[in-house]
Amino acid sequence: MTSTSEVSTSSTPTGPSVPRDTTGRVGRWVRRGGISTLIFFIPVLFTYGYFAWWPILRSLVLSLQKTNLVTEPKFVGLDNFTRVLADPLLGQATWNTVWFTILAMVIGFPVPVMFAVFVAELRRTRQIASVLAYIPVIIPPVVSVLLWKEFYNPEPHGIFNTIASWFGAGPFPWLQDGNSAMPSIVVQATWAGFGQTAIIYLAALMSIRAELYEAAEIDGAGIVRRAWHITLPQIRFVMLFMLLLQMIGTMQVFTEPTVMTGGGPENKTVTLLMLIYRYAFIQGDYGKATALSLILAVVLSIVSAIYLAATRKWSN
Amino acid sequence: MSNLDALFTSRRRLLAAGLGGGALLVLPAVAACSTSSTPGGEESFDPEAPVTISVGGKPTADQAASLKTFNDQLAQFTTAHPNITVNAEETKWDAQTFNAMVAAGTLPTTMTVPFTDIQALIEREQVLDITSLVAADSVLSKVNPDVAKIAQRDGKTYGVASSAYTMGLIYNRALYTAAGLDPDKPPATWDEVVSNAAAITQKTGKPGFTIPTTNNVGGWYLTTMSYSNGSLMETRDGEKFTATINTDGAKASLEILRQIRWDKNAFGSNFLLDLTEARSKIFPSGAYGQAVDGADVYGGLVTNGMKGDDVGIGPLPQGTGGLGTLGGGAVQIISPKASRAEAFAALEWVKFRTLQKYFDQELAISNAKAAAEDGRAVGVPEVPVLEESLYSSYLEWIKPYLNVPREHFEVYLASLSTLPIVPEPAKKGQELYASLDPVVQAVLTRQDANIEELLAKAETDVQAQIDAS
Amino acid sequence: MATTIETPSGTGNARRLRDAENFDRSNVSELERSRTSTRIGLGIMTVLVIGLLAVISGGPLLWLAKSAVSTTEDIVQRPFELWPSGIQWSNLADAWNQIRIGQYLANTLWIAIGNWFFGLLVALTGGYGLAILKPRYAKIVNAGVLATLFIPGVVSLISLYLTVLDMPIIHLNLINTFWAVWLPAGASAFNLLLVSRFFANLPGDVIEAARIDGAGNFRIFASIVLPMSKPIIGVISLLTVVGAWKEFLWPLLVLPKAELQPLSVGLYKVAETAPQSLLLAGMFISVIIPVALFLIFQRYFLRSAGQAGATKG
Repeated sequence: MTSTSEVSTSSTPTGPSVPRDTTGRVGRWVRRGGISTLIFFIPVLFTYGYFAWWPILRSLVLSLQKTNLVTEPKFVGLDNFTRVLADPLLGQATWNTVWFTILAMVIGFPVPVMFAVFVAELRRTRQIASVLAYIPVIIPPVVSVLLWKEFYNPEPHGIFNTIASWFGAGPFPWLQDGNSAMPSIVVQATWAGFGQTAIIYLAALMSIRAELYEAAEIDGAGIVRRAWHITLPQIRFVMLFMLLLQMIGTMQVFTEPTVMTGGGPENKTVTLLMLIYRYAFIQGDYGKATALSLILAVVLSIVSAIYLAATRKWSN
Repeated sequence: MSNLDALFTSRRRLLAAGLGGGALLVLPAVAACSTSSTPGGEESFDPEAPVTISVGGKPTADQAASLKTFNDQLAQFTTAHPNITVNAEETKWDAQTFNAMVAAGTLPTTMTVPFTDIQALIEREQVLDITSLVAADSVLSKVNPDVAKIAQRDGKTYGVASSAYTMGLIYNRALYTAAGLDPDKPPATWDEVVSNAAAITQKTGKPGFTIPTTNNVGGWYLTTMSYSNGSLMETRDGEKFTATINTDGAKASLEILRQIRWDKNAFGSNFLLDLTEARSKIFPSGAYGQAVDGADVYGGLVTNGMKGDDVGIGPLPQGTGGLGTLGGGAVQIISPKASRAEAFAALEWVKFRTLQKYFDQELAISNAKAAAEDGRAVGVPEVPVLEESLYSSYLEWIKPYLNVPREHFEVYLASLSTLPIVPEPAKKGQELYASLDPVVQAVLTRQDANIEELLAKAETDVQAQIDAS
Repeated sequence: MATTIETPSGTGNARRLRDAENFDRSNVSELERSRTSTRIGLGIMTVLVIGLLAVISGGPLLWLAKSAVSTTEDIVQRPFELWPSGIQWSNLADAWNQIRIGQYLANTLWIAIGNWFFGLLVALTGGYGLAILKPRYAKIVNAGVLATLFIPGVVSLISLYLTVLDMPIIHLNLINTFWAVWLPAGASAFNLLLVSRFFANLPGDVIEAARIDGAGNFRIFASIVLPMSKPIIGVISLLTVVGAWKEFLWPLLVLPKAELQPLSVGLYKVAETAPQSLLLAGMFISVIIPVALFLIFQRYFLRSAGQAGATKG
């Protein structure tokens, strides 16, 4: 078609010749491939328009309305938010979600790191170790949870209780006790997820420059000291980022508690996302559910912002 | 190229089109997205005019005989009402999808909804007000008033009760015998329930009494037990509803559970039991001895492998000052988006499908025969939805096909005329149940659970929810 | 970099020298590896770690396999014994027929294929537009996409559901159709940015040359960009298919009809009523495909997973 070297001098003619001028500009746009470019953008615009941008905007409006999908939605101002904040279950759900996140960080964070640091040293067996670690990630979450639910059978002949009895302990109530239910869920979630994180750390570890190790070795640092002073700091950016992603992810956990315990015992495993689900799809109160979603999203954003600011100096 | 030029007259217009498109995107947020028909209004209509309705509850493919009966009935109905076209769906009740179906307008014109959910639907305006249609109909207006009021609110009717049962004590006759108890003597008081449970655990090692406690079922059962121990969960004074949860009846009920669990060790070790799991897997396998449940559960238990002769059903045990038992059942509702003509046609179908069998001997017999062939229970103890005399003649007709050992349920059947049926809490019933689930779970999982505290907190929470609506 | 080391003796040395050439230096140096104490230490830890991994990763799967062909009683009462009541091969067939595992599996496949297709479609065309075509409005679109990456998904869950229920302007109800799962899956900002970045790193001069020769946008896309995109197509395909297999909440909401549900939702619903033996058999059937594919294509999986993570960082 036309070469790209056409210089578009914008000559602004005076007088009633505007139509001609703008036709020229649009014509040039078309000739430069403007329509075909637009065509390439259609899938993105359609998909994001309907399923990403519009829902976000609509959330803002929805949170201010009372919607039951039968009668017309009516504006109720901040009523939804007040009702959400007045729900006695909100405190419990918030605590449960935070508790899950804390447990997940404490249990689920060091494991992949230590695993990756060790496996980085393996040569022949690295592949096997990686494969074995990644298998739990490949298992679909619902299957994984149902399997562990079976393991957590509180009867003395349940799997984990049988294993515990080999060491003279138990039987434990696992999911049946308010205090051990959440940790039990976190252990399963860690099992299912550590492989994914470990592989990412492993990839990062592989890119650490050998000279750093050599220099430290020359300085007389042993294996462990080098691990502490070189390996970990070198991947600190990835670690901090993964920690943030994990935190955001665990604050929105839904599948594991729903399938394992349904929220019990005594609502001790109800998470915020489960509460949102309940508002919308069991109570039919979509405005209230959206209000809680917005609150949660805002809190997550604030926490992320604080986190990023606080770790800025560490992640260089 | 000039053609393309003609498409876009000016950049300004392009911009305006974009803005307009954007505005169009914003509009649906402020307007309702569904076409609002005037449902069931007092408009007049011609009952003979052609009308199309959709009905739920079609049997699934693996219930061959019932499906055949359904299709036969469909054909019969269409012959009798040639102006009505019926589209049958397998749609069944599901709390989550019901909302979506209403919103999307894909709810069948009529479908079955459990008793326990109808009040919430009425409150959310998700079912049609059919008061005038029911009053004008000779059959529908004769439904047993005790049963009919389940689907009523403020004097208006929102559904047709098509079957009803009451909560009773379900027990495993085989385990009773193994524990040295008389299977023909269901416990009449809660003390007997406790001692029977202890006996079962001692002699057979299996839990003597278990109830599900999740998904609002724990609260539902606690309410039932509370009624039987003399206290309601809610009282009404005109428009004012008061939650009365911290009562002697509720306390007594929780105390019974505590006894069974901690003193007699007869509850087993699963305190987060799910109702569906209990009914389909656990109780039928003979895993525990007694439970509270609706008396209509016989059919499901047998389908899931329990021997019919092992099923024991007794009336709900009563404590001091017991008020009776909780009623349950099925309600046929009409979609809130149905027009009056569609509602009328749908009610004709409802009558035909659910109530006709009490008037039509042939229909009754063919229904019973098909059910028996499918291996489903015929003659399950239930509360008659029409007059007693109609029900007795109905039973006579289907006598050859009865496959339920009704002689095992004599005590229960006798109680149907003596034990009052108390309706469920009218306001925020499901939320009340949801608040009580954790209370029941607490008593079962923590030996130091403070019953008074738990009930008081639940009462405050539920009252707040009632006041907020 | 490998440094050749004079080692005193031992048959392992030749192998270690070879390894030193093939593997980059990590923490432990060659010299340290040649020391017996280090070798023993590493060796013991390797055995422990691999052994532990085998038990905790392989163990549950093996137990699942064993239980899939056991009776319910054996599963519940005697979980550690090997088939005291005999092997129940019929479980698998029964799970297929009675709890319709076959149907759930087919649905899962359909969803995976659709997600893969739409995911690729949006990512490739959008990435091409953002990274190579770069019209003036690309900046806005890019900002919009980035924004969705940083906004937690929970915000739009409910309104996305309502949108699918009744799409603005065109007024379609996608509930109980696979479109309700496929189309939103295309809006993955992560995939789009991965592709964008990849395309931005393609050699610009090849594309320039093509333009000078008079090739239009479509030509360039089809003949130049796509053929060079095989690696990123592989990564995106992997991510979308694995993601589709694991989805739970969204299909639970938009596919209430049992005949359309994928394995995750189906198994969850069926868990309440199905006998334990059939349930486990069904679960086993649903993991065979992903696990088998993983074992066959393990290097690819692991590389993609690591790569995706590197981009996140």
